[in-house]
Amino acid sequence: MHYPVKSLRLACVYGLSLLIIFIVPLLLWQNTPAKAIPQVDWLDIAAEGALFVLGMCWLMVIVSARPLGRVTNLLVVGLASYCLGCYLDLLDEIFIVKTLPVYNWFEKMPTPIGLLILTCGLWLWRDEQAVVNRQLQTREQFYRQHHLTDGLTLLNDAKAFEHHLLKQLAQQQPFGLIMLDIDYFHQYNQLQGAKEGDKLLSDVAQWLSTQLRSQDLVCRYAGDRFIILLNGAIAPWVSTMAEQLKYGITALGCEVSVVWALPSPKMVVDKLSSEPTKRPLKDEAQALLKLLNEKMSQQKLNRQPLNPQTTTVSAFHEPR
Amino acid sequence: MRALATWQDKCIDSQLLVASLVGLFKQRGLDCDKLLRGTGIFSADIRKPGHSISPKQLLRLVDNGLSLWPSGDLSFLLGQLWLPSQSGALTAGMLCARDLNELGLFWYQFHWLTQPWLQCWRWQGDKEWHFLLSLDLGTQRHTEFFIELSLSSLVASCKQLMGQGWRGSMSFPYETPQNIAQYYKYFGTDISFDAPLCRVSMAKAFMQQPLLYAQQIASSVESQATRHAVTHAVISRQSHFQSPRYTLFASEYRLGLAAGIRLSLMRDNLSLPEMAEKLMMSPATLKRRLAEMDLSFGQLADETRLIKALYYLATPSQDAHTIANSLSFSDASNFRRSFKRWTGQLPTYFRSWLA
Repeated sequence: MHYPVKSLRLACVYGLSLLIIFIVPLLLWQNTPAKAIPQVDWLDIAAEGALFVLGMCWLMVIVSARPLGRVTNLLVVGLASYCLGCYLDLLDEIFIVKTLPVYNWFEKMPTPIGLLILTCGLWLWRDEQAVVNRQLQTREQFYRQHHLTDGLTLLNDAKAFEHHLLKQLAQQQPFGLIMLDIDYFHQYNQLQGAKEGDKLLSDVAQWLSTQLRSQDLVCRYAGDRFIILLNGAIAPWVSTMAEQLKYGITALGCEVSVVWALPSPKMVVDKLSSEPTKRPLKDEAQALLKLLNEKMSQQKLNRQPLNPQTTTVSAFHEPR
Repeated sequence: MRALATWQDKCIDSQLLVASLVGLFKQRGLDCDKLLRGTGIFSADIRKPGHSISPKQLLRLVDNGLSLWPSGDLSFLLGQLWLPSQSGALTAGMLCARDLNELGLFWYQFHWLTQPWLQCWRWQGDKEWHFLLSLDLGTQRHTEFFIELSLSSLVASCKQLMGQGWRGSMSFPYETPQNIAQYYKYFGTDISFDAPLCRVSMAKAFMQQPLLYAQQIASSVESQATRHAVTHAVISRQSHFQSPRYTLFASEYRLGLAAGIRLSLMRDNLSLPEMAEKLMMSPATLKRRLAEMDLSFGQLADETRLIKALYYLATPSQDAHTIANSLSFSDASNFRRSFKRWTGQLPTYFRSWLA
């Protein structure tokens, strides 16, 4: 439903631009003399041609990347008008247009108008982005590296989390870490199929990102292991949160093992000499992650082994 | 001696890795045509029984897979699919094993049918079994991928067959990788990097714990003797031609070139011309065959000598002189220098590595 509308719109945009590209030179050809070859300034043609081609590229990028809406319309109209201006500019390098007063006026207008509309669009885009950022806050906390996003759960991955952890350590503010690992996910995958397993992962990711406060962050660490950074946290609160998540997640039809850590903020780090402290911070982050993983491995090993008679895994039940 | 598989020989059953890889790509909605591009593998052939591909094709496929897969967990996911994707001939033997020891022996005997890119050396320590893994068939081009794949299949199989997590330690022959998170998640935290060889160690007690399915059989049949009868019945219920022994007997190769050379070198120190003569090819051909896989004879010789040196070091009665002698170095300082070149450390550093 969504897709045909988009491609129809694309076709309209391209059709219209092609029409202009052919019609205007044809009219000019009819009404004005062309410049003689030695009169033509080839450098100008190259420069203005490049502007036109780049403008068209931006137009294509905007049309293909943006969802439908008012902001997109403004951006598209603005850019299209700018491209038209560039194109007309290009044509007057080839034809002598001074003889046509109407054309002279017509040629000057599209570029400034287009840029004005584009600026309005960009301003509205800024507002729109602020809303989107708020929506994504528990998933990325104002740091976006789209290639560090995990394709399945749409959460940030372990590398992005490390970046956030480093930032948090550098700020020297108290924070808490919670790590979750789904119990018996291996069996779930085997009994329900890998498709269901993938679905469970993205459900859990979705659920976790709605459970947190806006200043917290959740990332997919590896496989069915998730990690949460709680900003400005105190011990009783982190443990309560961990318990709450452990209990709440049973609504999705699975159980999790939870471990948490509350690193004490270090006072020794000198902010002025940022270069030498970069290394220890990184080591500290690594040590923290390793500690959490160690706790998790320990908890998993101490868990009751699965009873061989009930290989149908009682840990999983229908979602409530 | 049976022919050793080289770069272009069709020796890898495409049911193994290829089918799982394609399945995984389909499941995540990725482009399978791009995955198979340039490999000379056709998707229609993959499910055909008995269809094999060459190491060259496999490596190209892994190249494609790694560049198309969006995150760093491809090998770990494939490793988890390993046990479920095994076909009839091997599953019975693996599921009926009493404990990890028995499973390990069974795997060691028939691993050519399921993980032909591996070569495994076993060493008994005081409390632990150590397994050293080397890569065969030119797969050392993607060392990290194939080691992650093999070890995650080990860990996942343990989980499934024992109903509990895997316990042990691992060392990896490369520096701390980018996807360290996956290592913590699947291999636990008892791992180290920058080791001279890939080493997996498991406690003897852990390897003697009974496996789930064997328990089930034991509890249903009670006596040990009947358990064996059942095991054999399960295996012989399939037609004789499907038994792993027969499959291995019928297969054209049993070892890759690199593994074969390492095995001969473990027995006696041969030079390149002697080895070529043993393999019934000219020295130039042998060199070329190795170069196809990005290997050289000297590399393999160094590797085997390193393994031997590590064995000797783990034996308390050996000092540097006797080790140097047994490895045919002229003197102890020469041995130390070579050892330092292989591992970056002095021999004494590895005294307890295989304890």
